[in-house]
Amino acid sequence: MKIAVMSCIHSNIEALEAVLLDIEQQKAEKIYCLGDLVGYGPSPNEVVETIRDLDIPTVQGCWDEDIVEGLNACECSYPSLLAEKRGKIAHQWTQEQLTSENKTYLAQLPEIRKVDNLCFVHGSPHSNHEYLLANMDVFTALERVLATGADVLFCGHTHIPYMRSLKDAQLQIKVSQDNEVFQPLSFEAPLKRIVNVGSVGEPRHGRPNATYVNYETDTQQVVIREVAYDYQKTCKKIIEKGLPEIFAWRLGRGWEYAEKAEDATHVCTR
Amino acid sequence: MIIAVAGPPGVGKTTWISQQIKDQPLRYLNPGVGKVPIDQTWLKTVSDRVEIILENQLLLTSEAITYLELGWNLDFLGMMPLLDQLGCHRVMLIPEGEKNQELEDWGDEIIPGNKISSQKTAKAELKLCRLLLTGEMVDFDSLEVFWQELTEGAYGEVIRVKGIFDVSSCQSIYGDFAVGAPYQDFRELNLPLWLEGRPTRFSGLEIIGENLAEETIAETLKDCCLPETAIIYYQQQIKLGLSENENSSDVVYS
Repeated sequence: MKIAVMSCIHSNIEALEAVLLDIEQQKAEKIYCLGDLVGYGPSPNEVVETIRDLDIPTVQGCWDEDIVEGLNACECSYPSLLAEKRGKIAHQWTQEQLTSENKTYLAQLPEIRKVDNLCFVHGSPHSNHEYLLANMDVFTALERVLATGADVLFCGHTHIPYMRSLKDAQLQIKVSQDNEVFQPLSFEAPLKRIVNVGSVGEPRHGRPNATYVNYETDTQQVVIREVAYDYQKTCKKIIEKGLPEIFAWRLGRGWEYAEKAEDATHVCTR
Repeated sequence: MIIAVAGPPGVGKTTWISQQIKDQPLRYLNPGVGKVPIDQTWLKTVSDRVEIILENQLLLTSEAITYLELGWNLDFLGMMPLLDQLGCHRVMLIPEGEKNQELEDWGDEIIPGNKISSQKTAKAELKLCRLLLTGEMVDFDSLEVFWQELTEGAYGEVIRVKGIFDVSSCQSIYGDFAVGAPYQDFRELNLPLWLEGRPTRFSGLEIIGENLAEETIAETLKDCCLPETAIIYYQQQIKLGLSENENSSDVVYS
């Protein structure tokens, strides 16, 4: 069965519509969404309503959580003072725009979904604020997949798509307690995979195009799709609706709206 | 002796002058910079043999050579008669590999400078925007984002930017961008760490470009500035780190 997995729509209805059309053309039988439906972009209600109407199984992203729980669910979510100031503007604007019905929908989203040997999260199984970057160390990456009990972990949050295979992994532990050293224990992990599906509405791969992933459950084939759309229409809306103009400028370059995420360990330098 | 140095923005005038500092002290005047004296601040960090002088000191007798740097915003072509009257030796820096008869005619001596996009720097519509930041300490991660946006054209077409910033590591750093020139990282200036309160030493930014959104630039830069509490916090952290290093160097191993 071919499934489509998408993430990080960020209130960009034009990008979402283009991706849904592409999914239809690619004949995917099921769609999953990894959250961050809202934040930064100009069409939060339209995006939430589209996902709701299509009954797409979705997990809660960090933005969805923050809109419901209040800003700074994670106290160092922003990599810089500037990103924080911009993020707060976007947060307040989105709060004001979202209908209570759509907020309720975001509030009830689960943080994790498991379907057979597949697991769907926004950031990582431990936190929807944690970045699983392509170059994070193998041990940590493997731990994140093993924690779910799945073979394939689908995530988003970094806005850069990638597929990573973790194979032939051997773990060895040695426990010592009260000067008594126990025999080392060895484990072998079968092939595990992390699939980051990129971002529909806020790419940061240097082009404005939306990305998502098609996955064949029978062959385990992963195809990263990049979909062009009328991003200038979104940019125009950003300005018309009074969001910071820099969001439009950055979206047009595929740089995300306001922030960068380069640290897999998510350590805030401020 | 007075040496007048001119050339398009970003061609490397101040850098060339810094290369003339050898055993002899040097006097330096950069007229018209007002409250944003970036080049002279940078030059002073390169060598303490540089004496910064004021415009009314130009004609005072001195054994040191005086370098008169003429910025892009000054009509250095129209100043030729005055410079002749002062007996100046004229040095013109021209982007390497380029020909410009008007500029070459101005110079007694032609020096090949940085490879920059001189077609863009020759535009008549170019504007100069200067921002004073003294008293502010900037969040470095924010500065990097702002700098990238600025130099990539988010706030207008920029052909030259240079700036000195006090940053959260308590260092003073220098940023330099010229259109067409290779990218340069921020460089730490040879100045002491600023560990007590808001910095009173100079920091500021100078931008040359077209259609500059000056108000947005100023607002964005303001958003990069740390509040007082954060400044004090960072300074405490740096002082703590320094004292720990000092203490660890006192340990005697036997």
